[in-house]
Amino acid sequence: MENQTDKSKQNLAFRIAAIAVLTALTTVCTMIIRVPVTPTRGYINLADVAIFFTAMTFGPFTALAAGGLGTALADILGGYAQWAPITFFAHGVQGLVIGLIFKTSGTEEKGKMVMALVISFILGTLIMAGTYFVTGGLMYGFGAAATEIPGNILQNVAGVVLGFPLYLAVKKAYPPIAGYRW
Amino acid sequence: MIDTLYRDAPSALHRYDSRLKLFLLPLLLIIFFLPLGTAAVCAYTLTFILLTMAVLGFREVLMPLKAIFPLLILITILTPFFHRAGEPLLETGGIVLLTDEGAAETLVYIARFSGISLLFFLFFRTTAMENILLGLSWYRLPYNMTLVISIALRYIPHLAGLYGQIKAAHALRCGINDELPCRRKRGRIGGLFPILVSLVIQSVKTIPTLTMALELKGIGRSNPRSRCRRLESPANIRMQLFFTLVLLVLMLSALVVFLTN
Amino acid sequence: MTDNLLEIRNYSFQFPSYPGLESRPLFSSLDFTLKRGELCIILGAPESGKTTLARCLTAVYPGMTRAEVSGSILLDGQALQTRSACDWIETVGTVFQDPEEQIITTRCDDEAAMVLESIGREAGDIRKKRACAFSRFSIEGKEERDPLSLSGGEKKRLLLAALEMQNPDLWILDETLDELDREGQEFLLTYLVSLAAEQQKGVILFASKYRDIFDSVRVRKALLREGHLHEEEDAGTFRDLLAGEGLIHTDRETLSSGKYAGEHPGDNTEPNDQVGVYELRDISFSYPGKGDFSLHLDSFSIKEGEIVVLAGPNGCGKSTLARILCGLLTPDKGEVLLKGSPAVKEELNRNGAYLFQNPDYQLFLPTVEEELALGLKHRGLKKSEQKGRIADAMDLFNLPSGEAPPALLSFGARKRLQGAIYYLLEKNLYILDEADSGLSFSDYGCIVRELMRKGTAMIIISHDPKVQQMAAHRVVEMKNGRIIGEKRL
Repeated sequence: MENQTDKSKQNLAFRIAAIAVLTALTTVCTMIIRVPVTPTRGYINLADVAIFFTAMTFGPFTALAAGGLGTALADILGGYAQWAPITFFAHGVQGLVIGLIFKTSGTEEKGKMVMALVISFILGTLIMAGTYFVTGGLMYGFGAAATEIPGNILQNVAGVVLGFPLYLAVKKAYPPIAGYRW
Repeated sequence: MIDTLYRDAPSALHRYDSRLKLFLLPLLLIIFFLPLGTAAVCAYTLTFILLTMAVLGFREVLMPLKAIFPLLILITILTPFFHRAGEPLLETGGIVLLTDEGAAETLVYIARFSGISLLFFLFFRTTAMENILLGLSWYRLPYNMTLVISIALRYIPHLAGLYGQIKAAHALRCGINDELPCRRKRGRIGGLFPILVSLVIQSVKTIPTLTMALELKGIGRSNPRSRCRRLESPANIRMQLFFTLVLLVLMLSALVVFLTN
Repeated sequence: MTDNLLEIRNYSFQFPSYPGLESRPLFSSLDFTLKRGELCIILGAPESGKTTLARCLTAVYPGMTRAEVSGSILLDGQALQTRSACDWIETVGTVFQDPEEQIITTRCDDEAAMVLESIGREAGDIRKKRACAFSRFSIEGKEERDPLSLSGGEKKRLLLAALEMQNPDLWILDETLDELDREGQEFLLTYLVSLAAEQQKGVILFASKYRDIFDSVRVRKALLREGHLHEEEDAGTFRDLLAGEGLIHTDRETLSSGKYAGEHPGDNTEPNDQVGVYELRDISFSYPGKGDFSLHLDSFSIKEGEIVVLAGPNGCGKSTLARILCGLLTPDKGEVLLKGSPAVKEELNRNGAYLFQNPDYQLFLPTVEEELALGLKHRGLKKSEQKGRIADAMDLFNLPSGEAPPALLSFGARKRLQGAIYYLLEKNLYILDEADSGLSFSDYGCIVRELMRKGTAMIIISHDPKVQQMAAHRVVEMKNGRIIGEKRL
């Protein structure tokens, strides 16, 4: 027996719930979970891991909203509010693009999957690091803005290297998640 | 563990209506990017420093600057290298280290970036998150968007706490006679991964329950919503409106002067 | 308006199956009728399907569950599935078992107003209703508080106040008496009785324990068992039925009697007078930013093979003490001695096992077998050796299948899996922190019994006197962060 009601009402609640929880998850990954990078004693955060995961599991729109909002909230809460609008754009569009790539490639075929991973890594990095470079350049000069590029690329590397296995592990350990993409 | 920037205080900026603040924020921001010249940008930033000092006190000025000072140092070191036009000011062995234009450019960048940082700091320091959201919905931001943000804010401390619990739980997953303490064996990232998986599974599992909670709160109905709580206009809203207008006129006239020159 | 407010006809419900996890029908041909003006208490053991039934009645299930459903539920003569859950909120409302899952705002007044805002009531009207409901459930003055900062009982009262404002015809209360103090329970029950009688509402109250205050009211009582609702005219027969399910406290039933006879470690196996495996000396601890609590212990020790129960009211420092022993918290002052020598965090982590109330924190692998194998892999055991031990543990802890995804197991099975994981690890101390909450007595008994066999020290934290007396050598009474007394059994 199928539920006869209009599914769209429940879908709205589900979408709000999914975006809200994933936004919170992205914020936590950005602010709290930090991986020390030994040589430089610097930290990278796991924002891109969360965005990769969201884009692959929940699709482009959720990734746009949760990735952008989550990282922007992390900036606001962490005291870097001046970055929040830029971050929203950089990470949001990054999530959207990664999500779109995986949506068109599908997740069944292995070869396509690897291709999608490579393309989304390159495009994601270009969008994210590019946005920060351009806006940073406008604010305080391209010289200083260029110094942030390596760190941002490293973040994206972490995003792919951790985000993809995370997607696989969660999908295996919690199968119902397969129905959450839209 | 997670705290917003907002601190309650009885200052004039705290009492300033959040809708007016939301209106002024982008306008004040744009001014930083107008090619006004070094002196103007520095003076503009100085007003923000003075404003922060006057309203919140001296220590509050240092807080946002402390967060950006590594970047400020980078700007000071790197900008002169990229601006070699103009009269040389510093020279060693035929290599120009600093020109007057380079110095001016550096000053503009430092002033602009500190100013923007201070502007945002002031906004978030003196405006409570819920007033920002109420202000945004006054500007017709759809209810579902503010809802997403407020639910996310409710879940951030929850998930942060969950992360701590999960981390503790995973630390206990090794026995007395393990060959090596398991955390070292797998390295830092390897040790983090299981924690991350548990955290993500737990987060994802809350989505269906949250969906139910939302449905039972009536999210999805087609009738128009009512709103119990609105932004209360402060007592001196007329004064604030007047002040905002004056500020607008000042900005516009500055723009006109700049364009006609 | 028909006389029957709620009719459940031939209703069946089955969650989808996953590889390695065959699901069985939770309800099969369930029939039930509730008239207006009736209050019915539905009792059921943990995992008998109370929460699922509550969710079905509010129309949020089947929803996203992909469950197979047949039969019908009628509210006021109208089939439930003809509308979305959000369009039923004028007719049916609920309080969740876990209030934190239902709370979505950060202010009590917003939380309470939200449903009426969705319906589109006028703001002034909502405020009037809210003032009235808040005073009835005595949460006035907390309007601007963050609901999550309230105590468990206060959270439930807030949600009850919100439900009163919502004013639906059918009230579904899922274990709402839990976490309320005795006075609150009595108040709520009297309130519900008069609500049903005077306003002609229907009320269904789910409970997993028969409480003696149920004797004082004349209401319908039903037992949810094996997918059916059982009702008995005769009170005595009904009590026997409940006793059979372990929902009513009888004196006979402890771990040390009945089928667990002979396993009580007392008397003959009393640990000899050796030095404690764990010793605490002059410990003091306080949580940063929480000035109102601090733990102070002059000395505490536990011997190998000794079972100690920590008792005391909420927030008295039982869990804090247990966490210090496991190295999850580092004391501000004093030292933890492990077998006579001071131990650091890492050592304590490796020596202690802590069964969290929520078993999910430790689970992350796709199958039960992999979860169990992880600890053995760290120990460097061979594959063949691992297999035998895993099969052994799965058998002892009654786990369904090695292939099953842990995250989808029932709560009781996940708890048993957590027990099995620790069973396979070599540890010097096992701590069960309220491990009995939400668990059937047989599941809990299974975990305690098997871990007891390891012969190591064990600390049990529980509110339930039944649990306290069943296996312990010693009960340590705590209050306000201090040990105030000790009783040998």
